[in-house]
Amino acid sequence: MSLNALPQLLLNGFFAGSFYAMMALSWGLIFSTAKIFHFAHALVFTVAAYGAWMVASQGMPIVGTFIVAAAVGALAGLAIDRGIYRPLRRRNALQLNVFLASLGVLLAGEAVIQFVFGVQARSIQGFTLSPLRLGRAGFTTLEILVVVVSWVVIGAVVLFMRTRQGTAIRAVESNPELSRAMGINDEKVYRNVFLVGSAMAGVGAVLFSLQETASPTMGIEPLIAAFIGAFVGGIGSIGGAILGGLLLGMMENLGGIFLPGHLQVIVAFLLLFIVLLVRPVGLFARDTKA
Amino acid sequence: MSGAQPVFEVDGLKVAYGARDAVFDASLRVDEGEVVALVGHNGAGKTTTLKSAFGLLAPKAGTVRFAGEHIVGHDTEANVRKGIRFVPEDDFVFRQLAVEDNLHLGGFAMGREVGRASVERVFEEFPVLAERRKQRAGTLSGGERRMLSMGMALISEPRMLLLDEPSLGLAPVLVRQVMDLTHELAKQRGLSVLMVEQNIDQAVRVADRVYVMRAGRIFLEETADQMRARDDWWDLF
Repeated sequence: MSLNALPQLLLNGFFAGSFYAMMALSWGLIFSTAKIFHFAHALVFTVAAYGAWMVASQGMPIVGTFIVAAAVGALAGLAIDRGIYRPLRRRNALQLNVFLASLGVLLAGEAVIQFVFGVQARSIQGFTLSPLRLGRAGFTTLEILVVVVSWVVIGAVVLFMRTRQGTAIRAVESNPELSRAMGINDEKVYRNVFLVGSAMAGVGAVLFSLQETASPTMGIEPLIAAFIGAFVGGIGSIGGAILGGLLLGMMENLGGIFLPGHLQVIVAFLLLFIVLLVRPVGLFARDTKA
Repeated sequence: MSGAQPVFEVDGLKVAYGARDAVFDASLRVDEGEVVALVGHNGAGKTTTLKSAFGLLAPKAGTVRFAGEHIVGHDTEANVRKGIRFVPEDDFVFRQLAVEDNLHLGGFAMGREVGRASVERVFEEFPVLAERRKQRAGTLSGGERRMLSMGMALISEPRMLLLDEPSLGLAPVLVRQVMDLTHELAKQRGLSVLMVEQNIDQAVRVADRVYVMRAGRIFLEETADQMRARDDWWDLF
């Protein structure tokens, strides 16, 4: 590909990056607060997509589909925390064991979805897309929807983090021991991050399914983008997760200058690897504990 | 002091970390408006006693009573709401968060009634913090951080303060200030204070009574006057 494609790639990078930014924030919020490598976030994503598909195929308007997906996602995330993570937390389980449990839930959940709904891909109805042009670059109304919804959700969460409950989340994130000493109930804080992070994943699932399709294993790809974005940006930093996701989307697409489309995932892991080597706290995280 | 009702009573406390016993049969009491120091070597079990009395650690046995009510097994949220505050020995502020947010978090367990007005009240009391309200707490000096930690505890207007080594890491002049503040809180506002200290000179200076702990046991209780009358207290440790 030549440099003529640059405007298009930048635009595509921004579209993908906006979605990744939302996903990175949603996953990063859970990881940095509950300290769980929440692999099953992919299952939350998938469950929400199927919930969205079910109501959309019954004629639910797109706004309603988003709301249902957010609610289904939030409940699925909460159920995984209460059913799987909390019992492990109470036994002071090792982080690795919690991660294994998370992976197990994802695989089991995917199998159940496949059993119930079959392996075929499902598309979500309710949004008709039309093409648009900006100079030499082309895009669609669907991509506009992705950008607008992603940034509205990100904005809402950033504002939420300044509220009373949001401040408590930041407290547990930065110093769980002191939070307990202050009488902050950490279980309520975990509940809140799972609700918020999973609702975000639900919204993301609709955006993803509108662009591609819903299938039992659909959650892995956005999950990987989410945690790469969160680690690249910096764990524990809201702005870091957002910028990390955005950067990932841009890099993947700019990688298209050199690489055919299906190899773009190499760019993602290369980016992660370099950041882990050179600046393990993440590109946009504060360096010191001060 | 004497004759007053004990506000805080620990009786027969036993605490273990896994199979290793850390505190054996610790008993102590703090009366209203009294400053009590719990002193002893590093590793004597002082912090463990304090933490389990507050609900941060679960004791194996024993009772803790606050204002006559049993509080062992209650979570820290419930204990803060009852009027007990615990200030840890290090990492006692949220470094990444603004000074103002730290104070709000200090009052978080109390619900919405401890809000902006309470934060302003603390700022009046500690004007140096008011100047830095938007700054991240990690950028404060050691003394300012210590003041902030006291503000975070006082914001909920507690009756009982549990202080874990309030002198740790402070310059001598600041240690005196913190101790004077503690004394003033007890004598002017009637707070009861239980403090764990290694800086025995300073602790004994402001305390009314002193417990001495060694190898997980409280083996001596004296008034601060008795302690001060000793030539030295190294034989105690």
